[in-house]
Amino acid sequence: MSPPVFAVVGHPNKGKSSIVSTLACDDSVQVAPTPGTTVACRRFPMRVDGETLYILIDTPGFQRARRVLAWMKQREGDASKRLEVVRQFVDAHRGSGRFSDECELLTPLLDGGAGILYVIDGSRPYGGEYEAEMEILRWTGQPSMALINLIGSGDHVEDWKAALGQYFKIVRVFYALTAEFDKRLELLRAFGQLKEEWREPLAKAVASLEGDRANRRVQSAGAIAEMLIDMLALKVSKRLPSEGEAKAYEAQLINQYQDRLRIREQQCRDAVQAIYDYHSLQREEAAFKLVDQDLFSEHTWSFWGLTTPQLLATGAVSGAVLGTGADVALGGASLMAGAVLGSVIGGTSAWFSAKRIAQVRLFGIPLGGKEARVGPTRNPNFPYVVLGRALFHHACVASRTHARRDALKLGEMAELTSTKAIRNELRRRLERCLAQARRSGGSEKAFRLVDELTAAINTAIGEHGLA
Amino acid sequence: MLGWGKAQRTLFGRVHRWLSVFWSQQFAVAFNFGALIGCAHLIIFSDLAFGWSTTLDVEGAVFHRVVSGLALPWASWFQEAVPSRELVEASKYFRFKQGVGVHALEDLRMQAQFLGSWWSFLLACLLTYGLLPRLVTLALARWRLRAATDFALLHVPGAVQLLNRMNQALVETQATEPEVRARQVHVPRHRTSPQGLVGGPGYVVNWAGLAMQQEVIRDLLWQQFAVEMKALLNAGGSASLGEDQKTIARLSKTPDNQPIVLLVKSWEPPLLEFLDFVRDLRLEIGPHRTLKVVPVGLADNASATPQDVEVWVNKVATLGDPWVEVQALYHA
Repeated sequence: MSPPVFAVVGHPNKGKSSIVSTLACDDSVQVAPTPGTTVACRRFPMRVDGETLYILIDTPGFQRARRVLAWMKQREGDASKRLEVVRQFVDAHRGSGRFSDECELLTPLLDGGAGILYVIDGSRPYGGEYEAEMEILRWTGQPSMALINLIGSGDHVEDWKAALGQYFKIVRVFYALTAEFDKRLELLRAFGQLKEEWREPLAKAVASLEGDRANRRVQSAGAIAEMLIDMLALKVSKRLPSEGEAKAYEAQLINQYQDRLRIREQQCRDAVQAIYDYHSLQREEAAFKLVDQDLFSEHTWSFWGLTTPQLLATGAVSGAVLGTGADVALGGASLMAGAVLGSVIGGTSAWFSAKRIAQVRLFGIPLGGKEARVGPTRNPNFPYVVLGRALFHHACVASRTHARRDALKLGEMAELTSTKAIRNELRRRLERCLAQARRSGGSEKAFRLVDELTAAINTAIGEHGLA
Repeated sequence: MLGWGKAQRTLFGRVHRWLSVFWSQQFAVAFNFGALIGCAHLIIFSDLAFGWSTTLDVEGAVFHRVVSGLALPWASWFQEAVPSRELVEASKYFRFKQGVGVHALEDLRMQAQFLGSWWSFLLACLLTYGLLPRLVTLALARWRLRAATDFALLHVPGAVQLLNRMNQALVETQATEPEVRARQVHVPRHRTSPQGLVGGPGYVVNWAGLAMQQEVIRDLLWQQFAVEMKALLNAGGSASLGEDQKTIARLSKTPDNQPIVLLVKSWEPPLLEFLDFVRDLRLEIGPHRTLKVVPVGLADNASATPQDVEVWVNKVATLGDPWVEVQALYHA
């Protein structure tokens, strides 16, 4: 059985390409305010392991609908002959150039038996000029649905519903630019209602998309986890002669350290965007209200990071992780004193190091000389600041649609993604991983942590309901 | 090259270490096995008389305790390989006496047979303290090597993606072919209008059913352009093509020096249907009569957004008619 085909048709410039772009998660579709951007049909097959479950077709808009309808009406027989008349029209005008857009958009309805998704803009008033094109579509006799898109700020949805109800059995509101993932799935399920035999492939497509979405979330959590582990292990160093003055290199080393942290964060962002199939998405970081303020600014620090009581608690957890190691080494003879002492030390050091990211330290190196080193950071709040920002970025990417062409700007969701909102149990789980990551210092053991940390971050993303 | 080496070490450092251990243990097992074979060969094909000696003042009883200790692992189930006290005493070699045997056994034949029974102890020692520990370390090295290899393979760049691909269905939704781009045609704009809308009588066409009362249109044109509306006609939208032709026919009978104003919905895109109408109208009214396209917006003062006006200006310019121009409403 051939897969269901859906042709997205309508007036020019009413968001047909936006709807296709959103549903197909394809940001290569031209979406422009100038009419006539789409000049030829373009197919977007939805495939699962090579099996096509449905095909979306983006089409050009009607340009001379009244003339087309007039031509058809001149040849009108009884209702059973209408599809044949439409076919005759396309055959007679294909290649003539005069009705190229109409021939292009009607072809999939005739040859492929495509379902009709008729798109209008509900932010603009209804007008009589739409009636001719709706009538032409009715002549094709294909299963159809009207989609009310919303491009501008006006609201004429109710008027449109009343008008569209005259021509289409199903009328749905779908805002292509802002539709969340579950709304897109809901729409796909509705496509399945158009014809009995389309229901099953559409249901299968929806299930596959849900699985795929969950997979992307895990992949993103993995990218964030790797970034966190890398950042916690990062250090930059410079060899100095034995009489060298470390202070002279302090600013340079700290700058280098911060640059590398920033670069690593940008790499993670690019990776997350690529996971969600955004290949040409620009980030307007200068315009960010919060993120543009450097990773190291006081404001960013206090906004994304944990509060002091939370820090004390998490510092205690990491201290306990170390202390428990000592207990195990002593075969339990210490009666868990290690864990208790570790908690106290961890909590106390968290209190004192909360304001410090990394400092320059000096080490002796073999064959004389000294090494000035910055990092790895021991600041307990640091990974939470980075994680908060990463969750925020992920939330913005995941909730975005591919129809949008503006740069990625981060907005008011910020509070949700701050790590302060992560519940205590999950934060303890994260802290256990992070404590181990700090200890491993980027060695091979840290690889083992990636899976565990990925799972914790994936839970955090899921619990915030941002994917 | 250095980077490559470092990357290899990071990924496969542990594999390399365990591989070295594994190979060394393989060699050790082979060595012990060879020793065992060599020993067995000597025992089978030559007549060996074993003896022990020491410069120190060690009693046979002490030495017996040592060998009994060594034989402990198999003492309970392989008695033949545990040297007896008599054997230890009998096989002690003295520096000042020719031959063996502290008790100078008379029956040399019996002595020879007795001394030969050390072999089972020696073989058992080789097995227990040579081959067996090496087999254990070989098994351990093999186990750790396998674990390290598994771990390294899971962390080779791209492995996670490959595993994901194998475990998850590949979902594709994007277009399979590139988009056909609209041809960009540069159209020069005709800004040099022979006459603007500067008052006087004029005819108005409401294109595509702009929802505005006649009086409102009349006032708007008067206030904005000092145009006195002589007649308001309809075309486009839900009107039929025949009605469009009637409008054109009526306008063709109006005075040439009076402009025609085409009111359009600024928020709707200019369609080819509209351009067809303008061309048909031009054919009937002559080449020099002024046609003004006025986009009306949804704002309270009916002004259109600059973006919408721009779209109309660009489209109308494709007509190549210097006497047709888009005229935006002034902001009230």
